[in-house]
Amino acid sequence: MQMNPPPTLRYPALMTRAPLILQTPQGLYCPEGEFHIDPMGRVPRALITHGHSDHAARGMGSYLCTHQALPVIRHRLGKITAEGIAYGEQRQIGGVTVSFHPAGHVPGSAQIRIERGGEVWVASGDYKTAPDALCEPFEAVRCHTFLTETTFGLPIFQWQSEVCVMGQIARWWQDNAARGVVSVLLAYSFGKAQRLMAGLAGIGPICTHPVVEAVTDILRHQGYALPPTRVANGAPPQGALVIATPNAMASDWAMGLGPHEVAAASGWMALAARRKGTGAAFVLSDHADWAGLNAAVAATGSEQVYTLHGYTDPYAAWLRSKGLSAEAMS
Amino acid sequence: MIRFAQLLAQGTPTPDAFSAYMTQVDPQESEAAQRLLSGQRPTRLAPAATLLGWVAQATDTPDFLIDACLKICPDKAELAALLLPPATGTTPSLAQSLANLTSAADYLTLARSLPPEARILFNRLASGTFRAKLAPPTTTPQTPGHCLAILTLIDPSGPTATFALPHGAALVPLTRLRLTIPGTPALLAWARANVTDRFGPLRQMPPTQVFELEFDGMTPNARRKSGITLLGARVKAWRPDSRAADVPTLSALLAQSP
Repeated sequence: MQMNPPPTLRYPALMTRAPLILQTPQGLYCPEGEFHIDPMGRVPRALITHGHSDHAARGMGSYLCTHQALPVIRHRLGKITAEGIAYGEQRQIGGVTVSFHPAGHVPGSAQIRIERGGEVWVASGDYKTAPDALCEPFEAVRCHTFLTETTFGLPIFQWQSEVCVMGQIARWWQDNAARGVVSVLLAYSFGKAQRLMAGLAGIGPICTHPVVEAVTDILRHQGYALPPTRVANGAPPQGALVIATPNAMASDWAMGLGPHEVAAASGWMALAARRKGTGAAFVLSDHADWAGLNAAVAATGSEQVYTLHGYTDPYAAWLRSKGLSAEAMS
Repeated sequence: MIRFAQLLAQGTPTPDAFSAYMTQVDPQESEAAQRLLSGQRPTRLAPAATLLGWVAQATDTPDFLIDACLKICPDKAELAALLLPPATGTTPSLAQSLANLTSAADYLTLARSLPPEARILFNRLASGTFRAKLAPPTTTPQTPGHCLAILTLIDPSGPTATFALPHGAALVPLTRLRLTIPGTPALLAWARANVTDRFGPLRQMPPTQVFELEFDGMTPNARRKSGITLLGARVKAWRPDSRAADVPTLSALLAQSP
């Protein structure tokens, strides 16, 4: 992402008006558009940032998400009334204009921009500012009010570059292969799993757990550049990498893998306490790190920030100490 | 420094891992490593809280953020390592790191040039909290002991297996070992089709499959049901020719011990 210097010219100060987005028991709500964003409680109209289960839940009257996000959401939620929208396409909903912009988190993920008479709010959903080999890169959207996630909103979370981490994983994989041992990487079935495949393509055979393969197949058909993979059913080929969910390793399926080494890839692996008990650990996150959050907030040029998820209070306090108006949205 | 950190990544290194490491590094580094692992500690530069203070100042991190970080990372040596941005420049060796460490400025320069894992280790050395001592090598090479044991449980992640011996009417767990023998895939296929019960990640099998174990020695251990710990135990072979009923009892094994 382009690291813009903090803007000198901010949007003109606005008269105090009703907030465009509120926190409600069902989730974020836009009263003027009468829709929710990533609701968890049943609502008539839902705008969805991406297909992870803590953002896309069953039971909504209708769904709106990017064309790229829709196939996985349909796969996961079953029979739903849903519609896709292109990145950047503007749509009038009630008294507001809505558009979706790349969030760099997982394929099809979006930030949602809401405009009413020149006033702009952006709900970030989950986002990652650094690019990867798979998903649409993050785009900063200028706004007056920015709702940012703060999953890793502390300065202890500072990621190494994607290439560097993929190199570490590749070396671990090759060392295992040289000993005739299968490498098992634990990853979330949508997003992280495919990012690993894309980043590790061309090194050796990649196998998957069926749950991972189903999502991978959908994304491959959508045109995302993913290497060939096949479901591990019984012993994988010599020197293979197997990508599986943590749950899968506690199932009988794992007994078919033969001798193997296990590794986890997650932002939480930055902490020694979280690395205990996993064979190997790689720090690889689909969320913005400390520097990424700060760059994203600066690039929006916003004068008001609300924090959501994770370290909401310390991150809001940090922004206030830098002269911004910020508070945790709860 | 990175190699030394890798050596210690899984706790106190085994003698084998240590000798492999010694062949990879230069004489200065091997000498420094030997001193550290024989229990000698370098002079403490400053307590971990002071190192953290230097890092907080160098990175302009306000106190309220340090407090928030301490809540999920209470280890100050680790926190000081994580607060600095990812490493830049060339990585100093272990010997260089220790020789050039006399001031806050030295500390910050060295710490900045190290990747995260090596940085935590470096902070432990600088704060005098480094604890790792190589076990003295076993000097008397013995002829390995052998026993037959019955497979009772498998943990598919690993995979590891629990082996037990008959004791009265019951089977008493003897040891839990990683499965690396050539027949492992076939064994797991059999196990998968014969699961009788589940305890978290553990899978129970009918106690019918017999294995030959090899070990370097045994030592009394009152915390084990079997009363002993096998030293250097490994799975030697799957013995489909043996019946569980023919496996010698725990008492027979204990009778072997000197």
